[in-house]
Amino acid sequence: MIETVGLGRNFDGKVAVENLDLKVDEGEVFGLLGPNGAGKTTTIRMLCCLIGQSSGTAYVNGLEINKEPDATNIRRIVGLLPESPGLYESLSATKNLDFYAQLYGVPKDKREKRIEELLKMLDLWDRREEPVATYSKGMKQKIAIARAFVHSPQIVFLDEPTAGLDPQASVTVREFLIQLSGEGRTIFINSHHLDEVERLCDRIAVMNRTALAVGSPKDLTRRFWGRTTVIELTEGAEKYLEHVKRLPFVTNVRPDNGKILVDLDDPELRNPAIIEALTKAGAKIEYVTELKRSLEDVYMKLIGGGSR
Amino acid sequence: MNLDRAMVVSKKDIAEFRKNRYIMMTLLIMPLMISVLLPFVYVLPITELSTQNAEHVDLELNITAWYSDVAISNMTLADAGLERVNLTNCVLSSCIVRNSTGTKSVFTSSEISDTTLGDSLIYGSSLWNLHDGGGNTIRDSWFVGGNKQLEDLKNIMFNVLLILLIMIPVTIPTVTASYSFVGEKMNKSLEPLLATPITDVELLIGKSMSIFLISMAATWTSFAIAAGVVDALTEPVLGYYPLPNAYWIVGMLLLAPGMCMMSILANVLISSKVNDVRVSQQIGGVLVMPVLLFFIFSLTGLLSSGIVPIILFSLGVFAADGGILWLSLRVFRREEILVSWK
Repeated sequence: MIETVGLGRNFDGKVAVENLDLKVDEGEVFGLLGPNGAGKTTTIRMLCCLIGQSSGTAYVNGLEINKEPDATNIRRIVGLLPESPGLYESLSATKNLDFYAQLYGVPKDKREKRIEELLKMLDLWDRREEPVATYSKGMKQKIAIARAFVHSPQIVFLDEPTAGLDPQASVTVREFLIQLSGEGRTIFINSHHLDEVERLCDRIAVMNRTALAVGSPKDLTRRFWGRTTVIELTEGAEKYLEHVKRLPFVTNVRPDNGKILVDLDDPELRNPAIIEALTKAGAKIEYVTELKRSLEDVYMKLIGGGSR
Repeated sequence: MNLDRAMVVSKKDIAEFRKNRYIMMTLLIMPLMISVLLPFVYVLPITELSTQNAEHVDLELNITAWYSDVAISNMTLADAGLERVNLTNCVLSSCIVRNSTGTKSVFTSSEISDTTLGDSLIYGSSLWNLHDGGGNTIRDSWFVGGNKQLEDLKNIMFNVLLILLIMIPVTIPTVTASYSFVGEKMNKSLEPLLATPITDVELLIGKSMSIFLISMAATWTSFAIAAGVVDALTEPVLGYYPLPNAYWIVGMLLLAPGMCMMSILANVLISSKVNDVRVSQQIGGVLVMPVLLFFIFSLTGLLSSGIVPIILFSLGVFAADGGILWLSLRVFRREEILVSWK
């Protein structure tokens, strides 16, 4: 659905994006993670044919970016939420959405229905005729997101969809996105909200001018941190370390505040053997669990925060 | 090209303009000043000059005999109608004189039309298109055309008023067009707009169309009001409604739209190249130059000698419009607007 091949962009000699290779499948919710200035917005702008590329190319639904008539056709099938809502403040929510629906050529009856559907979904139906200037920041963001979906596009690019929103508004926006992603369309999200990306996205790419890693949040965590089993004993974790170390599949064992941490590839398969070895040695086990590594840990490792 | 999309942009812009107090004030105040207040200023000298003779001469003529195609000299005539006659050393009272010539004669309480007189005395008469052969003394008479001094002054005044009216379609776009791209950029609405399938041409046409429609609506309304005010003020002294004359009609139907287009295209072009509304408006102010050119040409008589020069000047303006449109399309870069504007 979306493919970038060595995509790059320079601004006055400064590299914003270089040699970016990505593949996003149809119906996938894909997240692009990266710090400020990582080239996320530039990537979205190139994919939406708003700016040209300096090197490489990209295909959106098989159409090549910045090559006419493909570029115009790409604009027809994509929806964009830019960093700022960019609404016409003196006009109402209905007028804002209707304007864009008309530009996308949505027939009158369909656009009325779609606008009603979106505004009701966003709980803004009662205030639909009020000027957008009177809306809160969260409400404006919701209208801007609705605008990206008003023509029922096949692909939607969302640049920081919850940036600057309070937690309650962020939850509403996330729920809205989950609901809309269920309609089978491809959604491409730029964000540095790791939690949000982890919750919403099927796969993510960590980017800093180029893609540093691509995969599902779970895959990335495993790939960059492996898996660790945590065993809490009633007493004397230190004296049982050797019993665990002797097991051939164990790569690393360390004590941690009365617990034993065991690094291994396949906890589901190996944990019973560890428990058996410890029990035989006379250890009393309180519980066994897995150490959870977050996407944040992966992100920090890749972007330069190091391991924590 | 999809004109529907251009129309959609145009309608949206008009809806936005209607909600913008600054633009609405510009649309109302300037045209009102030019169309209502200024006619009083410009018409004043006309009425002043007219009243040098009489406010109105009301003649009750009782013609008893008609003379035509003859030469009459050294005679005194009263209550006579004269057509195509040649008068020399005559004294006429309460007569009608048409399409004739006369020298060294005296006319009192007569109606004289389309006649050339020289070295004559005219008292208390109604004069319609009197051709002044020189040496005449005119007292207490009422002119309806033919007063060269009055006609010249009237033409200058009307031309100046027309120039000021043409300032309306030139000036309004400097306010509205400067909001067109800079306003969208400042509002951060340009990025989602450019992400739609709209093409550069459709966007330029859509933006220009909205400005053209409101500017010309304000211009033509001002024109109608100004013509009405001038007519109301001058009819009592001129005896006819002087506006709209052919010169004004060409000015309003040809020159004003041409100037408006020029101002819009140039302002939109400037607006797409700068990133501040005030800067855009300041640069846009330079666009009154073609109007000044028109003003200078008018004063030198190059344009006001008839309607052909003003038609040619208008066509020149349209040709320049075509050039600016071509330039606008060449230099309009959506990427530049998005990337370089902060």
